[in-house]
Amino acid sequence: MEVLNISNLNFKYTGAEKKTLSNINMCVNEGEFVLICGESGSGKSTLLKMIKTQIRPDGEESGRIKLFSKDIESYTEKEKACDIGYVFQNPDNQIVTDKVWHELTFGLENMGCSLHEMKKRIAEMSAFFGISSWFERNTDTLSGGEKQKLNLASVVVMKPKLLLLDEPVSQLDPVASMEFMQILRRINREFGMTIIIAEHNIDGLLEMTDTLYIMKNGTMQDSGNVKDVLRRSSIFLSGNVPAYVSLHRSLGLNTEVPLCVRDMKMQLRKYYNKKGTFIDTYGKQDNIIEKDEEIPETAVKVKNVYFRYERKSEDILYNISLDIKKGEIYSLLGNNGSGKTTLLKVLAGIKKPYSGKVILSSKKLAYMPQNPQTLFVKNSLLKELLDISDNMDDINDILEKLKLSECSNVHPYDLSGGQQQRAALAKLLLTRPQIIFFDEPTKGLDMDAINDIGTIINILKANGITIVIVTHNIEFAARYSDRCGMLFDREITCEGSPYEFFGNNDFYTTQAHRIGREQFGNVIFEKEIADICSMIEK
Amino acid sequence: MSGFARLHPISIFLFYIMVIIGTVICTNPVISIISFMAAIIYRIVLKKAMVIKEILLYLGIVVITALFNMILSHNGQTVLFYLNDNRVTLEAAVYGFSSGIMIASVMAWCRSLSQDFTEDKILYLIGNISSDIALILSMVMRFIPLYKRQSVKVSEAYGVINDNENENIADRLKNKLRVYDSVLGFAIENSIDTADSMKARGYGCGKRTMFHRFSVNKTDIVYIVLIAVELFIYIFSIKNSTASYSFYPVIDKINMEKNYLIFYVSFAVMSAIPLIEEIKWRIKWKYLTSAI
Amino acid sequence: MQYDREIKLYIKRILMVVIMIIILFTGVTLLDDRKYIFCGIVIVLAGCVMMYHKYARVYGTIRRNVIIAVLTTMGVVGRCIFAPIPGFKPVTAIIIISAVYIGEESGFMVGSLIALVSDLVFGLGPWTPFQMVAWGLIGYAAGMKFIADKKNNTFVMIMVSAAGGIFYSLFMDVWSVISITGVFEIKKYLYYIGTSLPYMGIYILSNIIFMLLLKNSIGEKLERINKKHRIF
Repeated sequence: MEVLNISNLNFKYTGAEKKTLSNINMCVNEGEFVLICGESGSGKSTLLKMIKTQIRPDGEESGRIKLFSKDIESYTEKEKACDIGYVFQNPDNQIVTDKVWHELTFGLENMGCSLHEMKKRIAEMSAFFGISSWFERNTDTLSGGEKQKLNLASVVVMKPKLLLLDEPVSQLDPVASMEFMQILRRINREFGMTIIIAEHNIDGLLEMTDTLYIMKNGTMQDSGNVKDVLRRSSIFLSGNVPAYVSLHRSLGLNTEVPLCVRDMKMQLRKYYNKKGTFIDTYGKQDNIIEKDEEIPETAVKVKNVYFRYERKSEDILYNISLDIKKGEIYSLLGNNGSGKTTLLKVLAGIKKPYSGKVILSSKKLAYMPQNPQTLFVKNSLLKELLDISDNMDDINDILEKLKLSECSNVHPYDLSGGQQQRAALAKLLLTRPQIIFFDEPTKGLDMDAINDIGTIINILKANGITIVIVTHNIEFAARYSDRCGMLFDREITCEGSPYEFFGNNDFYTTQAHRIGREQFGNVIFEKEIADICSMIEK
Repeated sequence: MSGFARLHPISIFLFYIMVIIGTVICTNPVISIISFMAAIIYRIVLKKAMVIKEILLYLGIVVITALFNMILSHNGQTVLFYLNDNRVTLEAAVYGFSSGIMIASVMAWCRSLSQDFTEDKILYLIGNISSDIALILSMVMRFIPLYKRQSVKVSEAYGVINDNENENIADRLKNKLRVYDSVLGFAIENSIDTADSMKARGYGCGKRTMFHRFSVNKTDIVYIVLIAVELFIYIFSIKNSTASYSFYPVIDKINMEKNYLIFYVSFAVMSAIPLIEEIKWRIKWKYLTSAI
Repeated sequence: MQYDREIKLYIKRILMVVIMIIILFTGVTLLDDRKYIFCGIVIVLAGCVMMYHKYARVYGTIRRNVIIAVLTTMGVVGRCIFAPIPGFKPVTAIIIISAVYIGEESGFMVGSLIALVSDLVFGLGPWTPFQMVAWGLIGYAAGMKFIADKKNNTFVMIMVSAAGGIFYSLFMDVWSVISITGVFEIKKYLYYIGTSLPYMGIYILSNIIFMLLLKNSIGEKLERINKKHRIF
């Protein structure tokens, strides 16, 4: 049965010059798992909002949207609210009430359900999601992943026939986002609920997807079976594809497109089964570089630091020692709750350790919080910068460098995610810091924006600025850092250059390493595998 | 949670309304004293030794109120002494003392109310008047920790930038202002998302129902009947002026006739409801645990 | 249909007023000394209920509700953020600034809810209903058209915030006098005002200071969101 049919949908925001959506056609069948993918600003969120008519933005629209072969406008408000569920990107903003039970029942209350019916439905839902024990908790005490799970549960409890999700995992850490995707998969497979999800980071979603749509600049580039679409059009996604897909593309293989690391690994083995040949020749380059350089001075020195929040609480950091050189990019990796952010705050002097010492080479520090909005105060970017410095030359210089010159008069909250990140960074750079601490700089960004950040970080490094990054993003850490450290169980368990660090890890490592390590040894980027392969071809 | 707080919000609410209004509008000092005793004993049972500071506060209120009235009010016949050519009378002192007891007992009841009448009960009651307002309140309760956390984050981030150790009051105010500004922007801009999420879940498209987890049981009914009986006796007592008492020009004597006694005793019984419930609850648990 | 509903609404309102008058009348005739405090409580509670009812019926759009929740929270959080500077509370200024942008009924809502919520956080007391009405009325007054129209005139806004401080102090003094002496007499009231003058001074001063400090930032943000999403 056809759940959704969109034909010739066009949309233009009020006051905008260009159409945000042009000529979109879509057809979704019952029980289908649909992934709409495209970079930020490609119009995928707007498309979802057009389907969920209650939250349609203001603007001109044309075209038809049919839900179950009936025009969507012919449904009552109540039917529309019930039949189409919508999960937003930001886990915090969409929570309405203070208690978990109230959040779960909020939609049902709006529908005018009887008390008995509500009790029955939330009991079912809590059991399915495994959240029964949270019932009494305040929504504020949940972690980001738990919040998003709650948001999903409180939408699914209304029994929607079509579930729309707008980048639901972009704000979550990898473990929480995997867990969230598994729940989605179960909802889809066990209840046959139709799901449309818009996401730029498609790793992990591909396997469960039936139909893939690729959007770019408001148009639908391609649609159809996942493997076919990836083969034909993964180029439209630029960097926003996992390593196995991009490797498959760059090798120009004629096989089926792999949807997970395993598939790609098998294919590689089949084609280049010359185990051992290349292990010794590759992956040593970093050692050579290190020997060339003289030992630079230390920028951040941590000696036997212990930290806890309260006298009676547990130690968060236990006997940590750390040495970060001047002009180095140091990435701190680790699971959620391992104390990464706390360590970063201790380094930045926000929190004081109860024992041990933190010695910094410079007093000029900057701390970039997870959410760049934390640094916004004024109503335009220019005013934000004037808040820090009144030297116009400096400001223009920084705007230029960070590619923000055109948006100097834009309200900070109207900037895109990547621009917000850069804007906050511009503000910090005006203070001319010598050491910069980044807390999750890649959170919620698409590949282009992540690469922008990476480029900026490299420029800063070239200027002798020391950079400490806390991140979950393994690929980012591998690509841009000089050294990585892993925080586990209150201490730093392993440390080294990306090749030493990821090359020695088996599980906590880049996708390329997982794909190629058995055959090619210490490779951590897909580009290296591609290079080796082309060498073999020759 | 106290034993009393486990009852249905309506019975808790009726009790507190009855006991507070009953204490406030009755001039008879016996009622004030009964109410005060009941309130204090309940506080002691609930909070044990922690309550000493609180009791001192209440006594302070009584003394201050009495003094205030002595200075302000010059009615009454029994002059104690003269202050700046103004008469200071025994009647005014007793009147002030009685009002002080009344205020102190209302405050003590309010403390217990804050404790027994938890936020979900308030939302339930307000939700019965207007579900919109209850929802706004629930949102406020959700926003408070969110914004507080955001304000900590903002001040941390700015604390790193201007690491100024000897800042004066103007600097501090400026920093706080910046924090406030930033959090307000964060709050207002992101609230549109919240509104969308409410709309997406069908808020505002018809009559709402209200989810709650309270049910009326036998104890509730018993207490509600008890409160109703007390209300009846109370109104009756006001009508035949059993409840009234005059301080001026001379203090009435404390009347102990039959209808007065009924009035006092019924009020005392009603005031003791939370205490009874709490003790009942504790005995029950003692019995249960010893049985195990 | 619409007509029917309006008639029902009016009947409901008239009924509420009638019930209030009956309660007041019985209170005044039956009670002696304590009738003032009784009447005070009744008027205050009935006023709040009526205003809430009116707001929910007429103005309760989703975004407005959310903004009211946000402003209420910012009032309470503002009290926490500026807490370490003693005696100075930004609450009245926040209420006035919010009210001139969001209108009188919403202003009442913000004012009274700030009082209710901050008392829920810091402890309820017998003064809570009075505080709710005092701040609610300040919000209502500031939201009235002839004041709201002059929101860009700094002098007018300073006068309004000073008046807000005076009103708050006088209103809460009424409650103090009634509750302490039981009766409302002008002489006692004046005496009481005399003793609380320093507090009034602090109120006025802090209102004006916070008005000057916060007016632009709150105003700009509300104006922007309103322009972008047409809420008020």
